[in-house]
Amino acid sequence: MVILLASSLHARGVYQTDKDFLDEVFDNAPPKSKKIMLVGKLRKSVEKILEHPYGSLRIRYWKKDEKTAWILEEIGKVEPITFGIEIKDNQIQDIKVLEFREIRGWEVRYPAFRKQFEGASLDGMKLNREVDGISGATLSVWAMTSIAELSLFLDQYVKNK
Amino acid sequence: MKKIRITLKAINQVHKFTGIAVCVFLIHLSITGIFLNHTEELGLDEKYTASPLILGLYNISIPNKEESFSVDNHFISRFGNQVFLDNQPVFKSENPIIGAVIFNQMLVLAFQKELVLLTEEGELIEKLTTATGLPENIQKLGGSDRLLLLRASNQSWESEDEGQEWRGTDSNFNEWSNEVVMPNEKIQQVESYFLGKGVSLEQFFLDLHNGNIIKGFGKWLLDIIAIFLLLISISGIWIWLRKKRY
Repeated sequence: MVILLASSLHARGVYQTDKDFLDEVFDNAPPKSKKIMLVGKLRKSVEKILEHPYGSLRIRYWKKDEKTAWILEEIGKVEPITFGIEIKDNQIQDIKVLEFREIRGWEVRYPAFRKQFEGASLDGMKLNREVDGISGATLSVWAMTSIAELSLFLDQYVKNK
Repeated sequence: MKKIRITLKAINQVHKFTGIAVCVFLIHLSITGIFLNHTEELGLDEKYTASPLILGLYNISIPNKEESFSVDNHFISRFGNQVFLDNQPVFKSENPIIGAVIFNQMLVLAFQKELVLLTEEGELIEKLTTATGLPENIQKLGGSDRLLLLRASNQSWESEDEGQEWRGTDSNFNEWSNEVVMPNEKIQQVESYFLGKGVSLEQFFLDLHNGNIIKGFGKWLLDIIAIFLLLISISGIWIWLRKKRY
């Protein structure tokens, strides 16, 4: 029991800072951030993807050449999980857990699981592939899938703007 | 094989000691039972208690008030890891609030590593971090008509665009946001968020009656009392029958 509790507590925390994530995505030269206000039709589309409103009114992103990076949050069970997403050519290059605050479901941070998202793109408003779940981490898997869909949708939105 | 004889004296002893053991609980069960029988007449289902002792039995507690700031007509406070705008929970933070100001009709809250922008209604606009160019290690936050000001890493910084871009400044600005004492009335309003109405007296008497008030063990304690009551009844009948025979 003590070992289980200790491992759960250990799983909570910052795995990578926002700054380190952006340095990694943009080879230590991240561009200036840009922002999107979630208003009107865009807000409704975001709400449709997540099945609830996004946690803030403004979303920030970083764009250089054809690559965009997003730092987004989504609730796992009760606490928000911070994800970092790298997108190029309308496909996810990488999705990472930057900060995990829940006591369960942290397994989504493992590269073996995240690999399923590499190369994923949108088919309508959904991912073009099925993502295998993890027993005991269902809500975190759902959160990561929703955020993958949201980031791809926003990537298209800023490119078509 | 030796035959065990149950004597009247032994049964009398069992009867006497189980009687003493259960009498306190019988009084407890009787009193709580009477209250439960008259819940509606006594209005127990409409009365609530917020006694810390009773709430403690239900693991309901109020986290400590950590920091509080006054902005415009609002109070920004943190109880445990919950940040409040007046008595409305707005978001969670395990880090202390360093300052809070109003700027361009937005509430700006500073933490060591981030600035949080809220609407005046408490809706989250955005969290700014070092990834968005925020200076590291924030120590103080201030605001003037057109500038947001920070003291971070022992240097002063200013921003004209809601914290999107920061530049170092030699300004001798000293009207930094400071903690204030929160009036008791305001504290109580926040505390009511954690307590709700409290615990209804009906629920309290019910849990006293069925032993659930003592988590885990209470149920078993009541089972033991029930066995004692069976024992006292059986021994009582036995004694009565034996006495009748003589």
